[in-house]
Amino acid sequence: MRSKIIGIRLAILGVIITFWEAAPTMGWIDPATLPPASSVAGMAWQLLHMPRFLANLLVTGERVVLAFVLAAPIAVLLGIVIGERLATRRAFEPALRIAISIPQSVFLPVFILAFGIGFAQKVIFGATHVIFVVMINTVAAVRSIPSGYGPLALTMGASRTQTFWRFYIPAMAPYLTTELRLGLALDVVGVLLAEMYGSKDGVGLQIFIWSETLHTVELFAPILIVSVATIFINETMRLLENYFGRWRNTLP
Amino acid sequence: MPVITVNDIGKSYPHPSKPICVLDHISFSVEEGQFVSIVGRSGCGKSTLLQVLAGLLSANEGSVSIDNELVRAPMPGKVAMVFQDALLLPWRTAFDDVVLPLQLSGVPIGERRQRATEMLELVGLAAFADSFPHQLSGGMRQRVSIARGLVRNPRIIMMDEPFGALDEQTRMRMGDELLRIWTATRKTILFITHSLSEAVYLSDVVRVMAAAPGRIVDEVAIDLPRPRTLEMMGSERFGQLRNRVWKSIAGTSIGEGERL
Repeated sequence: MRSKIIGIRLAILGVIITFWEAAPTMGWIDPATLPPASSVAGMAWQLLHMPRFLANLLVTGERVVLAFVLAAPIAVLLGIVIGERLATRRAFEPALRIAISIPQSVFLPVFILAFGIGFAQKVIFGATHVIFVVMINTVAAVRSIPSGYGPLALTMGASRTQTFWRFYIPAMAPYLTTELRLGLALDVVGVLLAEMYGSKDGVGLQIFIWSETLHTVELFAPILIVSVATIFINETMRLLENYFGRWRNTLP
Repeated sequence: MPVITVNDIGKSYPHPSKPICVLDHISFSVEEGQFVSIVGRSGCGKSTLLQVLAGLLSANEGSVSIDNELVRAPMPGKVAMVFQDALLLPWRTAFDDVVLPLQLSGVPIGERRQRATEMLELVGLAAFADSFPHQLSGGMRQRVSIARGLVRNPRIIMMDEPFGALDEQTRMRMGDELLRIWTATRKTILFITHSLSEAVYLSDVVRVMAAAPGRIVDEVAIDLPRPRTLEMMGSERFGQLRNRVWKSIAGTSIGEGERL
């Protein structure tokens, strides 16, 4: 059964790659619009050996990581503080809900006016993509803690710190890992968008230039690299999520 | 020398017109090793009373002492609580859950492993040490919860409708299981329930609570011999005692501002 499922998954991947290879070669799609998989993969391999491209990749990675590291802990902390009390929850939740329903990308020109097109602006734009989704989900995570855990911890003699780390954090862990995964994904979106819209360096700028100059093979190569990298990160975080949530009684 | 002394406690909550009295001048004491039940309808304040006794809530008047010590906060080593829905931590296996109170109080690892294993054996769940709560039945979960309560070797176990969420058959078996554990460990047990039969079947003394305001209206000594057996439930004496408890509940609470 398990091997059958894995077989089907590999088959899906195989069909996509075969179509990607066959469509431009057989002339179903103009190769100038979609170059075949093999040439894109070859170009990606070459790019990964070019210092200039690697430098761009690195600077984008730095922005993504820095934005996440700056925003995520603050967002979790704020979410806990807001979620802890009914009054603060009532006061702040509407603002958060509204903030999260606005597409942040429309503010990009404003960010450029305020912060320029340098490194800091990319980091700040990425961070704003992290902060709201993590905050609102942390508030929900706090609310999901059963009300009985407080008295239970007290009768067991747990200190405040023990109550937090032994009862509250594990109860929230599955939510926290999910929201951090979402936050990181949005972080990548924010940074790449900012790089494509106005930048001096980064993978986003590279993609923008190759698209403007109709270098389609070169254009698809970084798209492939970025996709593979984000899929890898996302799946790793999902494994973590499953590990922390393995006690959740869900259908197989 | 009683192990629990409840001295004239009163508790009320503020309300715009006049304060709502939840507990009204309650006094009683519990002897070491006794099995005492408190019965009453839902909403009569019996859970509030237990929370005051456990140090989770403070009373406005009166005092509670356990072992000659005034109760101001929970007493983790001395008093264990077993809650209605077991309150196991879903990310911990049965073993890890039972070990938790020892972990929190810094007991060395070797000792706590041994204690937890013993307690799981006592409640008959040694084979389920590695199971998560969602893999256990309701009755098993409550047994893990009892083992967790016993693990620090407290003198008193307070149980707040521990079998309330279980089906009738499981409930009866759990009663026998609890009596077996009680006989083996000789703890003092304070047991909250709304089931008259359960209270009479398990207890040495049944205290009856009435609502609005929550007060104790009767105290029934259960003189059925021990060990208790299911056949006793059909006996004449059991019926008499159960009727006495029922009359105390029914006779006092209707017509005193309480809606059924």
